[in-house]
Amino acid sequence: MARLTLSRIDKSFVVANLRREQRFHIFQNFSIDIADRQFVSVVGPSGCGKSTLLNLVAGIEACTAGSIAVDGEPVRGPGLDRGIVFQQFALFPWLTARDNIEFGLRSKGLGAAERRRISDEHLALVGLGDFADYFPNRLSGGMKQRVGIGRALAIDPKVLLMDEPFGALDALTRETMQNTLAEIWERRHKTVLFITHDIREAVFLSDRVVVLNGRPARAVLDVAIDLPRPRDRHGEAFGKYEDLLQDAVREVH
Amino acid sequence: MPGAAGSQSVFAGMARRAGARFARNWIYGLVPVVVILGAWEIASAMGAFSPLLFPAPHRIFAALWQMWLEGSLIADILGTLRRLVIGVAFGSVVGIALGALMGYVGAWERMLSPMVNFFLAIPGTALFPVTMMWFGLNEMAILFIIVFEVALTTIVSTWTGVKSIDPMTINAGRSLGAEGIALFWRVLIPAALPSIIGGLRIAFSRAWRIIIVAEMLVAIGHGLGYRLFWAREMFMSDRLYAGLLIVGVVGILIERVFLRPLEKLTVQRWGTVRELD
Repeated sequence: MARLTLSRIDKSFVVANLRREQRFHIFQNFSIDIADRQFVSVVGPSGCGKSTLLNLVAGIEACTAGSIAVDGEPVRGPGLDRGIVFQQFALFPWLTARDNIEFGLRSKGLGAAERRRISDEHLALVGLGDFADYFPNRLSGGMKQRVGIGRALAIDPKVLLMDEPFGALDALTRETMQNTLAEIWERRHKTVLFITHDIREAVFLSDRVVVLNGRPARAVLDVAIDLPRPRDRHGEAFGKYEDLLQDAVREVH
Repeated sequence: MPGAAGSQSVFAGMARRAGARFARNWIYGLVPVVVILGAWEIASAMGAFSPLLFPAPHRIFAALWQMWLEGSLIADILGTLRRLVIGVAFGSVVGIALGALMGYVGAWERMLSPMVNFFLAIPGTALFPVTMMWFGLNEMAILFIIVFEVALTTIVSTWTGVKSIDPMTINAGRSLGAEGIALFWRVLIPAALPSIIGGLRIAFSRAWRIIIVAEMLVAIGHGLGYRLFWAREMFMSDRLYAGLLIVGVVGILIERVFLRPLEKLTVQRWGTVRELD
């Protein structure tokens, strides 16, 4: 079981200028519940708070009020129960692909043989078996993010958090990576919180898509994607979901 | 498409070009040296200089050879290097630790930055009267100043280095379970290494200058600075110049033997600094 619950969270910050102090509410009394092994995408216009949402769940930022829990266990900072895949990869350039993947395993205190077994398995999972000893600066963008995904999955987190993971890639690589992620997810059925601004990507990958909009942010649409997997990006039903979500993102709130 | 033989010749070509570049750099670097020494030698032979103030180059090299035969040259070099290594080792450990704390924890930065700036304004050599009073004319008087200078230099470079780490790199480390001392060793230090090496480079050169001056002032037993001082006292100008030559050459060697390889093995291999053609 790996259920992610955000209940009645507030996130606000104060901006002071010469005349007055103003409090901005990114989230106010916001709740969402993500079921075990559900792949949920959050989409919305830029600045709607979707990346903040991920940072809150990651424990990188703290809520002003309310609570976030993984399996009922409250989030109080970053932790190995949540694996994060970053938009700009955030690999450690001084470590090879393998050592990047083993980073979290060291934190867990695993021995060398066990780490090696797990990193071999995850290098293969993300299709980088031949690149284990490459430093990140020698890898392409797509390959870097494969390391990023392998690194996040290797610690066997309860929840996988992905912050626009393919946003920094070119269109062709992005599509390949979406296919790869869909395959990986079939094999590692994790609970996923996926942040993106790409609606096609959200429909292709998700069980459920939430559209955030307005300030403070609200879930203006929360829809289950009822399409068989593997999905065809060109089907009629696929297009209908796209249109539905597109309208919700564009609406001014 | 080049075949196997073709790609081999490509590598051979690359190696040849790298070798040629290396040789070219040395030849270019040596040109002014040879010109100056040659002019000096000719001018000396024509009796343009007082041989006591400007001994001819061949006499300087002869003095060097003499110092080598006597064994004082090696003893002086090792004596000075020993002080350098001890001073830089202690100073950089203290400096890197404090600098990383200042770069990561706001409270440490607020506490220490005024003091760091205060001490930066004081030349290390200006502390000699103080350390000579504390410790007397001995090894500690020298080492204390070197540790002080090296610590200050590495504090500043590590502090800046840690502050300029991409926050996402730190977030990645923390989310993968590196907190506290583990975050320090496994993320902050390697991520800040380009600046830390830059700081070490300056630290070495400043320490080297200070040691030479310190050995002149404290004037104990052996060391290159002491040898310079002694050569002047004895008015052996050829040995004085020979000593200066060695001070400079050892300075270059520290860069070539320690700092360059350190850079090649770390930041250059990782690609966190650019390699220039």
